[in-house]
Amino acid sequence: MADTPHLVLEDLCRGFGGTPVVDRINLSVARGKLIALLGPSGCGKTTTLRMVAGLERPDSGRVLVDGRDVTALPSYHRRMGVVFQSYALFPHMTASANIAFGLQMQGVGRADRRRRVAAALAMVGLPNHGNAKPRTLSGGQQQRVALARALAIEPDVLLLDEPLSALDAKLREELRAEMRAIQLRVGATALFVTHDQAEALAMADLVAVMDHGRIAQLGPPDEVFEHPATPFVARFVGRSARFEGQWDAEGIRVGNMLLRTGGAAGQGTAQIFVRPHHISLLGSDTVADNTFEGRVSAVDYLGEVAHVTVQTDAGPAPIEMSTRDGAWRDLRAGTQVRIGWSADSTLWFPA
Amino acid sequence: MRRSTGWLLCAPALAALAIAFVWPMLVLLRMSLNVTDESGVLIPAWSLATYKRLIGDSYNWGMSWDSLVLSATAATAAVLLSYPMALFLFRTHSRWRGLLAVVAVAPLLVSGTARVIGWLVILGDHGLINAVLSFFGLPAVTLINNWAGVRIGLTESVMPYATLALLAGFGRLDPRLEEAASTLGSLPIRTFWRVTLPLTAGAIGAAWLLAFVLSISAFITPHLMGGGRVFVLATEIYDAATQTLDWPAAAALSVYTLMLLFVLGGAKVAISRRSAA
Amino acid sequence: MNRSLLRAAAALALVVPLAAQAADPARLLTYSGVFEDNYTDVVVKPFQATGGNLQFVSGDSSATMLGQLRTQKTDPQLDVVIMDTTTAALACAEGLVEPLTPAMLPVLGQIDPQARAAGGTCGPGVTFDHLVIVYDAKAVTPAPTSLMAMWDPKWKGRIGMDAPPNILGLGLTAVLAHAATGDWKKADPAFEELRKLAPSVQTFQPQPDPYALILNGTLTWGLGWNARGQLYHDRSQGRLGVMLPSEGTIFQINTINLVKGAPHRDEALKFIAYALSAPAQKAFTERMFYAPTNTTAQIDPAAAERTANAADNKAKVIPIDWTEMLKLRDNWNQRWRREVITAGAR
Repeated sequence: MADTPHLVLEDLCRGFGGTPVVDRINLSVARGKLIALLGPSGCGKTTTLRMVAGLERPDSGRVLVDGRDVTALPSYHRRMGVVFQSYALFPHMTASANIAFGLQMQGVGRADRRRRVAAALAMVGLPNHGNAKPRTLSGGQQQRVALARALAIEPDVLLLDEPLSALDAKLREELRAEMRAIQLRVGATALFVTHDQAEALAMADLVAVMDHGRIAQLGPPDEVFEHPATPFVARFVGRSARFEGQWDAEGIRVGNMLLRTGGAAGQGTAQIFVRPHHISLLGSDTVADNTFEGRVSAVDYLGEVAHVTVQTDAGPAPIEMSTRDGAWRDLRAGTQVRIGWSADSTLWFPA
Repeated sequence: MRRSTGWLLCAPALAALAIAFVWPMLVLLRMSLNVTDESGVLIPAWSLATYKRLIGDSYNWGMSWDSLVLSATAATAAVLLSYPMALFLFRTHSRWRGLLAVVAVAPLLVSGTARVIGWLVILGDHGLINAVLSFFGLPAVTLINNWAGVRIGLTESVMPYATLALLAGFGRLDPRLEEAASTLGSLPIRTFWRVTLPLTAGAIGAAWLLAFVLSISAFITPHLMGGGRVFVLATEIYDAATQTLDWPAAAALSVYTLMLLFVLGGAKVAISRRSAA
Repeated sequence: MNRSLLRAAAALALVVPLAAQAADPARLLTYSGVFEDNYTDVVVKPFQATGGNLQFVSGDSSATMLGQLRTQKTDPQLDVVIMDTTTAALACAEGLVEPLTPAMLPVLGQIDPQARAAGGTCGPGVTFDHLVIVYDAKAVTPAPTSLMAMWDPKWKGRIGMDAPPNILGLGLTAVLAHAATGDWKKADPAFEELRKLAPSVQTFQPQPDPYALILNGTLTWGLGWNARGQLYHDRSQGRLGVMLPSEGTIFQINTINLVKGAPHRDEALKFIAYALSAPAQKAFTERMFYAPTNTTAQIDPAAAERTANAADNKAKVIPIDWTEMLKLRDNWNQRWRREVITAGAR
């Protein structure tokens, strides 16, 4: 049982007017897991979700749920709980009626329906808002009702299409934790579409980074972040210092500096990525595998951390430093500094 | 300060309204208080005699009722027929959409008389429909010079307006809502009844009212397609104004029609207020 | 030459206000269409040739002409109007047109008494026309002589019948009443006959007119006026048949009137005198088959034969008092609707 994946996408393809939008997507998601489709707008992630929901027909390929091919099934026979980006709550129905809608379609009896609607409202923390019309609810409340509506039908798969993008930053963080908790509690298998890497990394069991209709990398959040498989993934997920250099026998030459890397050596031109949290400001006597000289060009105080940008000869390098010790206060634009990082945290790709 | 600027900005429109609408209405009201003597002579007066005469004649009540029923029938048929078309136009992403929309409202570009003549060719005793029926050995139908002809012609003539009113009112209909219903297990027909229809109810009401108002004031179609058998408010007003030259009666009937429309418009406003609350 | 002189005068009028009175033409309002075309040719133009200064203004129906007079009551823009006697009677009673006396208009002495009577104290009749049955001469053979030919059930759906308040419908009712009772006002038997005819009627309101619908094959029978009927008879090479029914007919009289407060009163009176004169009456009758109201007009016998003035025809005219008719009109109108048109439902 654990071997049969719950949701499988097999060679899924879809084009519009000759341009492929989704190009041979293969995915398999185990029961109860949340997978995030992460990518910039236009990468095909929403089209993929719509094909899983049955709202769009794939040109080729299959969608399987529990090993059963559902590709030909219309959306109303798929039992997929969908939370839309705009929530798509029925404006002429109360929150309760919205939630009860799917149950009614399944022929659930009145008493049972009432009980399950109340449970769904309680689950999303809105036990007293059943009689409210959607437009009297706040954005966050609408989002919760939409989630309750999608979950009330006890769907095979929960599909979330940028469900948090319409909310402000603080609420977004709160809700994503809440949504994840609910998903884990009900044990739903979920497909989550987002362009926000923080959301994907925080919530997902697996992240699929999409680029031009293909999956560029599939893996757990930390793997995707720490070991990006392609330069695109490295660029799209998280921030980096980026340099370009040439391999020689000792390492990669960037200008007159030499960068050492972990693992096997290469040759030719290399693109180098270093995550900001791996870069440190070095005291005058501290050594590191790789060091650059530079001048501070900007200091952004963000509370727990400060983002410092150092202009080196090879290009700008973002650094993330803790604000606990107050050392960031000594940095001004123009301050001469030395930065360094380990060979292991030096990612490179052949150009 | 703000307020007075607002009023100033509205002034040209208000003045135009006063000249184009209020003044003629006052003239009409004044005319309805004159009287016509039994030989047809118009006598200036301040009298309600004309109203009393019209109200006292049961024939006018029947005719007024026929007008309302005809207009309601035409408005209902026009909305029923335009609704699917408007819904299609609203949803389609086809690049022909613009062209189709023009085709839907193209009848507005043709004069009412020309359209009626077209209908005569189609519906006539030896017209297209009867030619087809007789080709298949079926009995002929009478679709012209009677109420049926007027119903058909009137429905067609108000359809473009109904289509435009529906399209204008479909703004609330987000296609995501229908998709959401579908993912919740609702079959297309149920989605239509539970989601699409309630959300377009306002548009349907507005389109119906517009079609009704246009139908009740339509003169050309009942005049040219009724064969002298269809007596409605508009034809009665025309006859009184141009045949029997009883201008006070024509004016009084116009005032009555106007009152009917005001009552209807008020009812519509009240209903939409309540549903918005 | 003459015209360019006129134009020069008109141009001068713009500069010299005093000259405006002389150069601005008197305005005649009457029927447009074939009436306008022919009346302009044989009456208005010859009048202008004698130095008369007159402009033709197209009117739609007598009713709309009366409407124009009513709205211009305080500031008349028209001088002469030719309209149906029933409508003219209202204009006369409402003081929209002036009484005319033999002192003002000596030619009144030559006018037929019935035409004089038609105008009351105001303008006299200028044309006589009469009600006829028009029919498709290709479909109806031999030429019918009685109204009753239409009652043949084989014409079901082929008859056009202008119902009241149109004068044609009132006239037919009067003719039927007269045939049955000898009194055109006793209409009960007429309505009985009309109820029997009703199921054959295709339209009670032939549009645009019965002549056109017969000639394009939509109708076989209709009610019409002799003058137009004769004109279309000739134009259609006889396809449109015109019958003066043996049961009788009624006159339709157009009267010519001087608008009260006419801005060009003298010129207007000059034209009225001309229009009523024997030469003008002869020319218009021979052109369009309206019978003359000037008793001294010498009409070509071939044309006279086809007007109401032919001896045979004149004998068939039922004298109608239109003041009486207007009083009956509402009642007849209602009876048509309630008894005849309902019986002719389709």
